[in-house]
Amino acid sequence: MENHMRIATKRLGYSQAFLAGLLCLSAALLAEDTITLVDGKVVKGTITKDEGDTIVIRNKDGESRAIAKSRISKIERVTVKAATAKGAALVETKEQVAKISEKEVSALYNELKDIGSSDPLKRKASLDAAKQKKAEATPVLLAMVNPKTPTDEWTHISVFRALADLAPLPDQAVQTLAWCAVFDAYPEARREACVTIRRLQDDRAIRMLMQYGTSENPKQRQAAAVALHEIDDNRVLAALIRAIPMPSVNANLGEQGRVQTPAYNLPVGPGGTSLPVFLPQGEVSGVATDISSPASELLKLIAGKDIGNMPFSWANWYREKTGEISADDRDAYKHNRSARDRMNAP
Amino acid sequence: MPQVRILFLAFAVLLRPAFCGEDADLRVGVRNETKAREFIPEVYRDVSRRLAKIPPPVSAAGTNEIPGAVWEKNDEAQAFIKDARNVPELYARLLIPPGFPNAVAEASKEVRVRAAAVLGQCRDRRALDPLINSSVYDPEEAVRATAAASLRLLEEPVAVRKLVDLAVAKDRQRYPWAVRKSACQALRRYGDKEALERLLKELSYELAAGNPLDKNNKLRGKAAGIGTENPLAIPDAPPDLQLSAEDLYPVLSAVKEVTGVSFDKGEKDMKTWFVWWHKEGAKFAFKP
Repeated sequence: MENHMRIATKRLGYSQAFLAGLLCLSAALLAEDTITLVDGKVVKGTITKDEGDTIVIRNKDGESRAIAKSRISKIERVTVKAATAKGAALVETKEQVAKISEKEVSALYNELKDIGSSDPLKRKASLDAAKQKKAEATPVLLAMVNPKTPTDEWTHISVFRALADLAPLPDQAVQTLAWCAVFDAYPEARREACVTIRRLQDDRAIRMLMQYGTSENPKQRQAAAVALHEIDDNRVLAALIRAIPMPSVNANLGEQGRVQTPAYNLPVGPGGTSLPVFLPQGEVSGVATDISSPASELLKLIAGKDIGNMPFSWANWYREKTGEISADDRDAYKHNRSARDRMNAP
Repeated sequence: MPQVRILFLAFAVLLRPAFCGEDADLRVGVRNETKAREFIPEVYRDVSRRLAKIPPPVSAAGTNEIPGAVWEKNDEAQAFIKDARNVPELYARLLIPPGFPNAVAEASKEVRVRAAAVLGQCRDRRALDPLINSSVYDPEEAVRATAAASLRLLEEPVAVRKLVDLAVAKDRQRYPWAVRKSACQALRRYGDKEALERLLKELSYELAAGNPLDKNNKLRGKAAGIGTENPLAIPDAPPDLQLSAEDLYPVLSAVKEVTGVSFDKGEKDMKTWFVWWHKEGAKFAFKP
């Protein structure tokens, strides 16, 4: 009898420890970092990055937001350690959670693996499962488009379509999407990623594509331009045109040499005699700046046309592309510009 | 000499399985049905013969009917559709017209029309590429029409994108106007407005800022001496390349072909097309 009681007490002890662990874990999961802004507003979430001038915080829905440090008055960070002081119990529970999640991931993968199937019924079942388990399914779907995972073109295409249905997407998913729009091994999958980005109108993905488009690698620039052409977001084109600097040419007189001969002889001396006028002499050197820019180079690749590096040319291109002006308007604008404007005078 | 010949034959017999494993499998027994059907000409002959006997997929040519819809109560046709879900490759090969690489000699026009309808009805994505090829390249009008209409059944946006790519291809040598026009017809038969939206997007890139190859465009401005846009009178376009209108403006030609719309004035202005699309887009219907 005593033996039984001892075992029961021991079991009760274990279960209590387990419950305590679970409570600690839930406290850790619920704990949020808090940023108080200068204007009194409070932003809650998990601080994911400190970028020097800005702090990136992710909210419950997985959306990230960058906040300038100048706007922040107070930051309260809640670390997992601080929230969970029960060390040993937590370790045990964590291991358990890890094991469960591993199993769950395998089960989830088995549910989603037919997402690229040629059979429409299997495809639909997988897509429904992904929609149902939204947050849990996203990492598994992202793993399926990893180049190291041996999946076919249709799986990639279907994953991108599914991601469009799972919006709003976390940062990692958006980064993967932008990466795949440029680097995916399958051309049609790249295009599908672009379609998804266009459908979601996701600025984070566009920002990444712009980074690829202005990189040092010419192949990467070309691939990003193809993606941006496919996305065809007018905001991107307008932003790029705004970023083109106005080319300028300066003429500078170099260091003056010694005076050699008078520049002029003017009859202004006494009795009408000529007086020599000496002027500073030296080589005139010109410096041309902003003749080309990454923005105009990227625009040329996106448009498939080279219409120079002048911002006004590209502005007219944009206006014509969006149907604001006609070809005649464009020609008239060219012919009627003032000489001052043609010389790029400020 | 006979000894050498015997030696050679013995080597050939010994090494045969190593060099042609697939064929060797077929010889000893059918292990994989797909592979067997892919390689045995008798199977193609038999399927072609049986396919030709089932009724045509549409009751009358030139109608907007879904290919294969009339087969709902035809057991034999349904058996073909079921079969196509397992081995779409077999029917895809029957779609290739005689004279093309990998074509089956028995794939007559009637067989190809039925094969296209069967592939559409099986609704399997593996049939996408064969149907696109057939809808554009097949020499028979009836086959092209059935293949394009069958593509719709797959409900796959990739089909539209691939057809638009073909319709606006800039490679004049590889995709002459005849091929591009055929792709435009396929798009019309497919009848998805997404195709038009993609075409208009491409058209905006083609028309904005003018076409550098068109001698009528003054990209550098009017040459009128010092103080003008083009003081040195540099020519605007390369010497006349004698290109046809379809080759000079491939996207514009494709849009005109798909929509059946053209304008006397302002045809090369995106503004004109946008105004038309905003006005007519909602009620626009493709002409078969």
